[in-house]
Amino acid sequence: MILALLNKSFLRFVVIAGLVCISFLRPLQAKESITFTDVTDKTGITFKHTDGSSGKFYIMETVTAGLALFDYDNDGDIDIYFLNGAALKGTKYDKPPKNALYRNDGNFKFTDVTEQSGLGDTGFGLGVTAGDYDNDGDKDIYINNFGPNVLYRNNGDGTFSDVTKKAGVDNGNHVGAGTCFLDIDKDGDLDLYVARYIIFSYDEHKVMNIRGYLSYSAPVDYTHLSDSLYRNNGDGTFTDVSKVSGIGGHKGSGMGMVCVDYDNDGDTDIFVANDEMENYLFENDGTGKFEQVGLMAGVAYDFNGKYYGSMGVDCGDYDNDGLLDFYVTSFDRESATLYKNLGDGIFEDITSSIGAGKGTYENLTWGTGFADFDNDGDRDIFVAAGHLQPDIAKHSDHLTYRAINQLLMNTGDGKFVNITKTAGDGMKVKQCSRYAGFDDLDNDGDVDAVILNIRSKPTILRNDTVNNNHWIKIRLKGVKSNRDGIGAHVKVTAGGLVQLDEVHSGRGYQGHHGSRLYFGLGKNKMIEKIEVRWIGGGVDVLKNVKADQSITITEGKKTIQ
Amino acid sequence: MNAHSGHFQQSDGDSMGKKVFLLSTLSMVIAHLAIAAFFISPSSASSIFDVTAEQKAIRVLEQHLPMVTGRLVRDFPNNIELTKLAVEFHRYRQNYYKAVKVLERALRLNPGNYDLCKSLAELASENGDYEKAIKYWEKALSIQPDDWKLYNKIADALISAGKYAKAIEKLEAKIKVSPLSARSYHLLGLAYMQLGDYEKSKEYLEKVYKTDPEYFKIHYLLGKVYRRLKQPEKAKKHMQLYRKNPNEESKGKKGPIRRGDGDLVYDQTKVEIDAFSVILARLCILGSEFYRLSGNDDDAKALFEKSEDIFEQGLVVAPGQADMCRELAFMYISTKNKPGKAVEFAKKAVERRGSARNYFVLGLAYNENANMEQALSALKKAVELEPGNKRYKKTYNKIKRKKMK
Repeated sequence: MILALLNKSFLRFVVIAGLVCISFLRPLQAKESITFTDVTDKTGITFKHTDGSSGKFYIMETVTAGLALFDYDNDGDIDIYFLNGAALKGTKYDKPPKNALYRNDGNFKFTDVTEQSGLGDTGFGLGVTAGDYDNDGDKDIYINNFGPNVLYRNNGDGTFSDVTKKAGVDNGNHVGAGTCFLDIDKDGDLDLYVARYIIFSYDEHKVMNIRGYLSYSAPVDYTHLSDSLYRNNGDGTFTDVSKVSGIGGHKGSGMGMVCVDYDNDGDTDIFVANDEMENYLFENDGTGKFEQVGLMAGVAYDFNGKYYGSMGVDCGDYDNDGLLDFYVTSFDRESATLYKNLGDGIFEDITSSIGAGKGTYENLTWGTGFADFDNDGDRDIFVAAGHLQPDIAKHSDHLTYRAINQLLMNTGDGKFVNITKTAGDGMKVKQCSRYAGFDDLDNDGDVDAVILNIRSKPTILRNDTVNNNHWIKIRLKGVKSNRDGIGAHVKVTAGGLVQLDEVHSGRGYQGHHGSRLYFGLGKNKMIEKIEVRWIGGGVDVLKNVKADQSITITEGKKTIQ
Repeated sequence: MNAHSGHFQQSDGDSMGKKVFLLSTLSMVIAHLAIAAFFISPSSASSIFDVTAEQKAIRVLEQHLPMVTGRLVRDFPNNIELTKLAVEFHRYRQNYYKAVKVLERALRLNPGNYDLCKSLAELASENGDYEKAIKYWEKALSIQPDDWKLYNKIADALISAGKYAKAIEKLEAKIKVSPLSARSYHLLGLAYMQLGDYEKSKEYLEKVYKTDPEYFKIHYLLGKVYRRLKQPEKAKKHMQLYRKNPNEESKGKKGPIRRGDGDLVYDQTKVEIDAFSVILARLCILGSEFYRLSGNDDDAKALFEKSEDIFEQGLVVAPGQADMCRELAFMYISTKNKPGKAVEFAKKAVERRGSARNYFVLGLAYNENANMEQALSALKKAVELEPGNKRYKKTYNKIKRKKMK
């Protein structure tokens, strides 16, 4: 009997059955294989965030801070710039906390170059962005503080100079939030949007009492002012165009923001996530004049007309339909929201029907980003979590100050699955996170993550996903349009699948990442077509580009570098 | 009553009982020391950063209430009223998991209980667990199939879970058994919108508007649907109406807000000390009664003494606190214990806060002491302060009639 079972035909059957099983399992394995490893302690990064708190519960302690992932020295790898808080009234530090710049030395090793770079601002950091505002080929930094803001010009030799005064962009003495560079009028230089959270003074400081524990108050307890928009004059100075642009007519509690051509009309629009009020979507008429269309577009509230405590926002084409969608994080007991772009300038909150909010309702969520972590041709979602009330666990059995970040994997059919628990030790880190930024830190072809944690060290996650999927990394070099190609749309066609992305300066929760665009290509080793639509209207098309490389596309040139 | 009874007694015959007694005594001593240490902490000039007497009292109540609720729920697992009080306490403390645990345990013991199913569904829905909410709403509906409102609840949860087609199915099933309400039309319009059937959505949303023009929430959805149907003027009109209306859907998430009082913009203390005092008094009243009915007078007495002790501890740190005084008085009245003390504490409550509730309890206390003159005077004051309260009026009239006889 046993011999009979082992005969040739039976073995053949077993082999075939096994292969069939494997062929069925493979896509599933590929889908379940996103793995992040926490490598923070091996990176040499010693930065520790401080929120400046002294037990007085000043509201800005809860909303610091963003970070920037950018290549400050143009050596081809991504460096990290962490924002820090500062001493608030009643707090004293022997050594004032300051922002920190870490140079990427490759292989996940970083060196603190804050002193030599001159980027050690000691202001109370809230938001930051990076962009080449003077079109000289290197990225400059703008910091949105509580207190005066700072514009640092990159000198091109690894150092920066504070040019705020000359540029005229200190923005007064406010509580800042997100900030973005964008070209509002397609004139080839980068303008500047500065979000402002609340009007604050120590005399008008407010607190709450929850279950006998003093706690931070909410933005609705303060008055608001409108955000600021500065037009780049092209000579190193900026002009405040908040009023004439239409931005100045809308007071809000802006936090995270992203600038995006959501309606594919060739100009850059602006999404501002407002805390505890309707979100704003400013539609650009192409000349730098804006109309606030958030309500009509369907992104002001959730599907049923309820506003949330929106925190961060990112955009990405999650379903590869050629339209950029929005993902907005929010307060606890509010699901993060995915607004699907339906075209024609309208969006629908379809979060629950596609599983895009799983794991976010029970968390207070902040940083976020669409990124294809498993290179399978669709964008997954990362969500940074952490509460703002340090005592929350004392009066709740389901909320904690430190929380686990969430990872939602795109299943490729327009839906998401929360894979946090199976995505490696990097997704088990429990911190009180704020900004989360994504880029390929070790240039190995997959997207890693850096998370700023309040009152703590950051988290550096190495993407250790194992699969044979291919990828392409694209950097743009504008000639007529702004040097960074900010606002350009890039379409990559491989294996018949068309993916769209856009270059941004500033996104998520008050920070910056993604100067280089990154596309997962699945099993495709060759890209049929790359199409770049520059912000000025020019289009460049490249054909038959090999996968698995980093390329630079220069405006007007049909070749790659 | 099960084997756990007797835990409120502080003396017990067997050795296990002695150990339990020693442990509980020790834990009580430690607790008292901890509270004492807490109060002895140095205080500077009064500011919003100082813990107030009321907040300290809340912590006393918070510290002891879990033990009382836990034991009563364990001793009377089939008692829905006690379960509800325990759940109410956990809800106030935002202890979602504990509240669910108590309710699910009670439901296992009372599988056909409609109220428990509803409470579980509400709790799940509040906490974004829509699958669980749907499960328990459905169970409640199977117990009371003529509760038409449950169809809307289920449809609402289905929509929140992203199951739009099923929500429509549920509401269409409702049409067969009961006429649709504005809420049902709203949900149908919403579900069809999410499915992209804008004509159908408009049809239902317009019905809401026609049925109830005050249903302001519908303007948002009407604005959306007209925008999708490329009728921008109508869309704008509705969106503007939505913005103009007091958006109750979006506001008022924070509960009571105390403004213009220093810098404290939101203080939950007042709500909590009231709620916790009420819960403790009700637990004692109901629990004592149930112990007595099951022949355990000693346990009833122990529960009363324990509850009284908790109130007294609270009043040591917050002397004369009106809610605690009133509820302690109410506890004395309802358990027929210490009627003289009931008057004493009810009077303190009224002295501190002359509210209708406090006068009402003072009236009851005087009545308990056969002082009808004073009882009527206090009850009259309660009625004057809250003329719409039928209970106050009824009690006043009843005692008045009694006096006339």
